[in-house]
Amino acid sequence: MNIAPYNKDQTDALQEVANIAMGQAGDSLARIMGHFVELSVPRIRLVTLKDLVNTVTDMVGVKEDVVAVRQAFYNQLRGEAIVVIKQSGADELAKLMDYDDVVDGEAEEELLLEVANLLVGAIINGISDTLETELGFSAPSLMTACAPLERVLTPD
Amino acid sequence: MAVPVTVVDDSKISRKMVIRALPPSWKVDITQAENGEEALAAYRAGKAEVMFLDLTMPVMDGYEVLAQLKKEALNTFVVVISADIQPEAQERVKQLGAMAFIKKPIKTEHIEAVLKEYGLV
Repeated sequence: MNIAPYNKDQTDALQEVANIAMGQAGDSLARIMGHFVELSVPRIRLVTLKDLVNTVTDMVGVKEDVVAVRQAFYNQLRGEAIVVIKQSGADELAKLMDYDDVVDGEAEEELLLEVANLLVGAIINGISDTLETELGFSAPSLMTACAPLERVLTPD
Repeated sequence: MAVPVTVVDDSKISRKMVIRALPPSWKVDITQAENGEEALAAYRAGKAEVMFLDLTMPVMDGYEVLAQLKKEALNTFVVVISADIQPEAQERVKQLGAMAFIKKPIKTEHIEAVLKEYGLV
């Protein structure tokens, strides 16, 4: 399947929408963790479903196992947001948020769902703000607790 | 006389949104810059009595522009317009001499409020 690539202005616009959305997500994350969050310039790729796994794995560049949470959004724009956190990052996050005493699976899962929800919520609100529209989103659900990223993104 | 204003952002759509959000009654002569180096060049050419400055940019970012302006004791009215809205980012730019911080997405009323507060419009 051929997809017409975005032109420079379209890429710029999408990147800026993503930038604003990520800025709000970073702010939310910084507030709950009590730490400054470094934000990079967002990158946009248009890919076929077939190339999705390779492209995302490549862009994220994570070799170790990850935790992944998915969340759907809907209304004028519809889609699926996936938050990917390295297993070691998830443990660190739990520690930063004072979950360090009893890191049992259930408590950490709950925390990750909450953090993913916060990030996705901030991103979706950032996009709705910019586009002056209203988007709804579903509750987050855990896709995988501990698996390589390729496996998370490969349909069964 | 028109006020020389420089709008600094690596994103073209973002510069457009800032320019569109300026109050129509404000007489301005607009220069656009894609990064910090271009912004300083515009300032030195007398094009930036007021500067709307993005933070995250390639080549030279907004923090570096502010630091340079401060170091050379250069006098321009800088309004930072940023997607990074963390309190620490806002604090840092104020310490570096920015007069105001406006969150993206930019809204006319936010720009207008800052310009009114400092008697620019």
